[in-house]
Amino acid sequence: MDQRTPKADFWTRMAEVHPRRSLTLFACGTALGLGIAAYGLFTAAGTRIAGVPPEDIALINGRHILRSDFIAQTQVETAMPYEQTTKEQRLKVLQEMIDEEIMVQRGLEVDLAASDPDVRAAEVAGVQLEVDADVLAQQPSDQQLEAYFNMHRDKYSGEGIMTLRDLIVQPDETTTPEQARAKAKTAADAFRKGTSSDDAAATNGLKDSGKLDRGDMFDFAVRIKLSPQLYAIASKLAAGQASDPVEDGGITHVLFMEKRQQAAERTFADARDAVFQDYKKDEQARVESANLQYLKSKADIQLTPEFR
Amino acid sequence: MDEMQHAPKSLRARLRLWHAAVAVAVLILGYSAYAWAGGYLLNRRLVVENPDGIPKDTALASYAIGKGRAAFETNCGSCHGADMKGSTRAGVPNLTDNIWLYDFGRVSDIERTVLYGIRAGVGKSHNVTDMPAIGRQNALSPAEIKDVIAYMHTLRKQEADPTAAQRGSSIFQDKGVCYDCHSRDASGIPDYGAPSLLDDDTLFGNSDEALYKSIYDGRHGKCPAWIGKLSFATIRAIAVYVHSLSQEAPASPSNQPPGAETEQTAG
Repeated sequence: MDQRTPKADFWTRMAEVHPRRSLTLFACGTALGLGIAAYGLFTAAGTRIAGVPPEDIALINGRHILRSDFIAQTQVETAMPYEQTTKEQRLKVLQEMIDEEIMVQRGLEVDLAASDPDVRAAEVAGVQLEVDADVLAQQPSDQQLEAYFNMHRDKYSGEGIMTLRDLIVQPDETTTPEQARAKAKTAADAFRKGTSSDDAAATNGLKDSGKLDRGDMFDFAVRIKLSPQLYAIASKLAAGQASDPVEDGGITHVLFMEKRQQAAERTFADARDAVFQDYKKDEQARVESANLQYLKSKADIQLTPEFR
Repeated sequence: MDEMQHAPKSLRARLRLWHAAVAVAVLILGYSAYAWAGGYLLNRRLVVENPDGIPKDTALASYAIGKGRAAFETNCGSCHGADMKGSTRAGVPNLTDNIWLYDFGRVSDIERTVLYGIRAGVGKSHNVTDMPAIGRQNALSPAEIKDVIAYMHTLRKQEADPTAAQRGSSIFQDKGVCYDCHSRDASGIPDYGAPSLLDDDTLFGNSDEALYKSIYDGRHGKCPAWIGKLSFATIRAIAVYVHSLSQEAPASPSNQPPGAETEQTAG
């Protein structure tokens, strides 16, 4: 016989598991949670911060105006310590800061950067300045500069001058490569023995490649006009010397150096100022390029098929 | 309560246990909430108050100094040293004296340096100018730099060759354009971070070699910006802590914080 009273049954019932009740409570809790989350995420009122954070003096569309900035601005504008400024002065400064913030936000809203070249330029310059901050502040040591100088010596030597002829054996169907090399070698030997370049060329059927001007040329100009292989050979020739026959681009060349003025080497001490400037420039270019590479890696860039 | 009396004995015992557990939990939560609210309110006061008035508020200053000390040791001590004396080897300033490179050593001044740093790549960093590499740029010859150093010694009442110092003075005021940042009387311009040359507290040391290197190679010291990395309350606490161990800059004719003139006149 069950001796329990109806009141005792209440506790017993409460301790029993009721699946329907559990599920109902679970569903109610879920619905409430989702409702709160949706309100917070999808409504302006839900995302709005209630009140101004203590570190701010104002919030303009969610953007902060820091107290510290406000105090500094007030001191600058009034030329007085903040505690000595009046409420009117503070309100005036605050109003100006709010106006400025609103205008900046309007500029962002209408996407001024998309249409105004000055805004675009200012934004690019601002980002670069931020990226370059480390390099601009960096002070390279003499060791770093000297190492840089040694790696880029050619940048700090004066330009040499050469009077060079780049002669080729006219290619035709009757001349084999071996015959062409033999002609070039004979011409080179003649030039080395003192025959003029014109005579040596004419006698052996050689002609100018057309790449070089007749007369003096700076080293850099020769470097631009000749292939790297031919320039490397030419740069080692002294006046009166000729190269051995060289195959370049399927044609047999021979180089005659008629006159040569070597480039003047500068010492590190002489070039130090230029080295410093170049070092900074290179470092700046390096960090800017790394930054761009990083930004591009994060960007979604789609190209039209013709430029892919 | 009637229902409790009618509940089975074992159930009543379990309920008492639950009541005790809930009471303990409420006490713990209540104390935590009280402690959190106390800290929250102090932090709130710390950032809301006028920073330059905080040192006069003993309770708030004491809270800020405790909080600032811990944050300074964690974040700033590696450069400035736990004793804040800095290092002339690394060009890190001594924060315990009354000599300030930027501004005047008020809490608001220190706070801005902590917030935005020096040449830290943040738009509001102190970054108006830097010490140019005058020797490297061939603006002055090594001999002229040595003359300027002799002039600096005389400014500090130290021994120097008077003829060299005279030449150095002319260079300072003319060819070297040193006056442009350091001011005509060499007392510096804190808006630029250009130090006074009248004292011998020099960032990179006071030897002739260190001075020569500064003029020849230039200087570009840096301090990171802590905005976004530390809370505003922590940043202000650091400023109050540094202020508590240092002294504000004395006013001089070309080095006056806003209002110094008013205060002097009033005094």
